[in-house]
Amino acid sequence: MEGFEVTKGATNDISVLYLKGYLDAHTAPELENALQKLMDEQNYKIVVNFSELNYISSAGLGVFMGFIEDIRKNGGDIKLSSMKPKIFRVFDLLGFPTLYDILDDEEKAVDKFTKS
Amino acid sequence: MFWKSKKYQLKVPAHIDYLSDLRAFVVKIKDDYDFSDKVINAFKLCVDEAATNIIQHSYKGTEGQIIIRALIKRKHLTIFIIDQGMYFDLRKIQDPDLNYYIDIGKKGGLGVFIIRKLMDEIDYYKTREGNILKLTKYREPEAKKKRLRLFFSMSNFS
Repeated sequence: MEGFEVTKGATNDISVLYLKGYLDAHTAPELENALQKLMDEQNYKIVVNFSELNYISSAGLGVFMGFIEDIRKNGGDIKLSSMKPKIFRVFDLLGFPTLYDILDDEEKAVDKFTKS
Repeated sequence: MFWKSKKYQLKVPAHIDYLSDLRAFVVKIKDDYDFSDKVINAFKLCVDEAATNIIQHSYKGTEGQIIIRALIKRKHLTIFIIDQGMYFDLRKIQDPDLNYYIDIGKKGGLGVFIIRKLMDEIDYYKTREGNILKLTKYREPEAKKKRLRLFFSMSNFS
């Protein structure tokens, strides 16, 4: 069975979610719960680190689409970082780079919040 | 080299718990028949997207089966995804407007677009066996040749 894990970290007031494994319609609710928890805690500045994610389907991408508007309305954003090329290709295929900041690494994603 | 076409098949319950089994089926073809990562990754994603659509829209959460069948040929790989749920022709779904989807917080509707982008040929029809989605992708050099042929045939008409 291809599993999925999401763990939470933080840098100052910025929350970081680390994704690991396979993100599909079966596992997307785990990411949804993690993002909902951050929203409930009023943490609206979020970096998602994809470095250990091996697979994503549109169900995974849809999670980010479902939350982004509410997060931006609250002055925050979701910045995406550290994708393997095969993961980036799926985001790119759907035109996400024009709608989301996608950075090479977590540090640059965090900097994007602190410098903006 | 003489090539006979080969067929593989797997039947799973129509439930999202089994998406990983469907993807593993595709990977097995790569291991046995040396398709490129690009072809196999495209099929993994498209089979996942198609099966998710079948579970959510054709069976609408009711019990059922999904059959996946691969036809392996020298020049291309064709995968048939078969269900006995409601007829749902994904070719008629419009491409998504991402800006609008974000505005309204819509999470779905991207899978069909991915399938259209990644596959070389898509067909959908109904038989006694059920609804059949037929996905074909050519080995890379063939796909390039096919695009070139299309380009030149269109040029002749311009």
